[in-house]
Amino acid sequence: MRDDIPELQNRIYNGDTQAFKELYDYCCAPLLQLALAIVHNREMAEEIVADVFIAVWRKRKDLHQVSNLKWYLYAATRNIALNYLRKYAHKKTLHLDEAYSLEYEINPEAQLISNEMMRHINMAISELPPQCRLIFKLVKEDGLKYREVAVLLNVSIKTVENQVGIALKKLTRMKAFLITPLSGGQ
Amino acid sequence: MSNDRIWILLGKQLSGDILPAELSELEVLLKDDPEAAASRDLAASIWQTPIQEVSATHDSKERIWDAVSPQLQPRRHHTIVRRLVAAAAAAAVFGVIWTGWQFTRPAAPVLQQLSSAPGGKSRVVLPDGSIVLLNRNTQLDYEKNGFGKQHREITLSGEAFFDIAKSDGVPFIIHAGKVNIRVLGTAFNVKAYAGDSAVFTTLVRGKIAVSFREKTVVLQPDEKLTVPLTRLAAVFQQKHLEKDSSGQLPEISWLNNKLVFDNNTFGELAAKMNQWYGVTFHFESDSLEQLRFSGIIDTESVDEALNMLQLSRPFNFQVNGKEVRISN
Repeated sequence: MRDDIPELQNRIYNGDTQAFKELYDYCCAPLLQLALAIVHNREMAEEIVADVFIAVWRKRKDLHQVSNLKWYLYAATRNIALNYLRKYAHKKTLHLDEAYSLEYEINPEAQLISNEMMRHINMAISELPPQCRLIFKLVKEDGLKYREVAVLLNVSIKTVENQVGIALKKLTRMKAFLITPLSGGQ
Repeated sequence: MSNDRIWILLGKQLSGDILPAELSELEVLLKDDPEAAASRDLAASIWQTPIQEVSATHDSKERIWDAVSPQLQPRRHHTIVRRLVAAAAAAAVFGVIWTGWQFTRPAAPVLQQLSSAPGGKSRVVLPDGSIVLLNRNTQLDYEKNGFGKQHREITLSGEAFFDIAKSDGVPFIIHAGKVNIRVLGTAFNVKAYAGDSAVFTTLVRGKIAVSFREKTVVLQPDEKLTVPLTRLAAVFQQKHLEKDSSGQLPEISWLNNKLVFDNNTFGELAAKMNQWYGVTFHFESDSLEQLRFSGIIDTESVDEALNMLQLSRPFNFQVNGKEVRISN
């Protein structure tokens, strides 16, 4: 998790395009994923994320009023995505449990476990129910607070707690199953 | 038997979004469920393994950037002065980063530096799987090369809660000022801000050894050790802590996003609020500084907190940016 976002924010406030690009590189993928989970349409999701970043750059002089830029980006993405949905309500609906099938892969930079194992974890994550997967990812990967995820997805904190618990339980089971035959010398 | 509660609590612990009371609950549940307890390390390593979405993200990223980047062209109406100010500020920021870079990144030893977000707290997972929650204005340093394998030594400035991963043969050592804390798989709190006159260590579970000037003390759970730094001889003050009514140790209440004070003078409280909010207090008279308060500040703003304090003792205050003036 990057901890220099406030510093990037300060540089962007001062018109530093390099800092803006860094923020973009860091946040684009997770924001795109959130937008996709809401609108289920890649083209539309890309437009939404572009809107978010263009708005941040245009309003950079107001950035000193933003206390948590990361959260601000997630909330803006959610809001703009919901606006798109309203505009194209006849086409799309907001259901997180609807299939949005993205593949996940383990970051190869952090090879703590074998490739084989990673492939299995990868598969297990993609087999989680969509809402469960999205919540797990927002908490674990994007480092959002439970409370923030609840607000973002308009669900209760209990739901977030439960979904993270379920994901962890399932993933751990899968991994325990994988390890057993190896150590059991099967 | 359903053990879903364990998994909910494990998730909260791994994400760092857990209350101390829940942490104790988790420990109790895990004691009764050896199977889940055995999965705990697995869960931690799954948590540490970064996942990334693949599919067409890379192409998307380029397409979005193509839409965003034309907006970055500088506007003509900026005055030169404003640009110079921006450039100077950018240069200053860059200078600081450059100096920091030079300082922290010499060619051979790679020093990793972790700081809590300004005015906020942070949670970090070290390469060995240990979880550290950093309180405000806190910094950790460690040598990246061989961390977790050959050594597990870190330097702490500020306050942090440690949940140390077990690792046979590689002890975890924390250098807090001149005090060294040696660990073998445990959870505890260390408070060692640069301005503090002592180093405070509170153990939640497990066992740790604290050394200062050749002297070593082993701590038991719920014990707090104070090592004053001002004395020449090594003096240790060891005491058993009473949990408060919510079943938690006041020493780790900051994990809970609460500032707890119990019959503290306004002066002491001002120091706590300085760390909490980053504001500086100015008292009009000494007698104001001696007023005593007990209570809890939760998520209130400075103004709200001071309003709350006014309910129990009469005083006036004026908040001006990061300066707070207390008067009669």
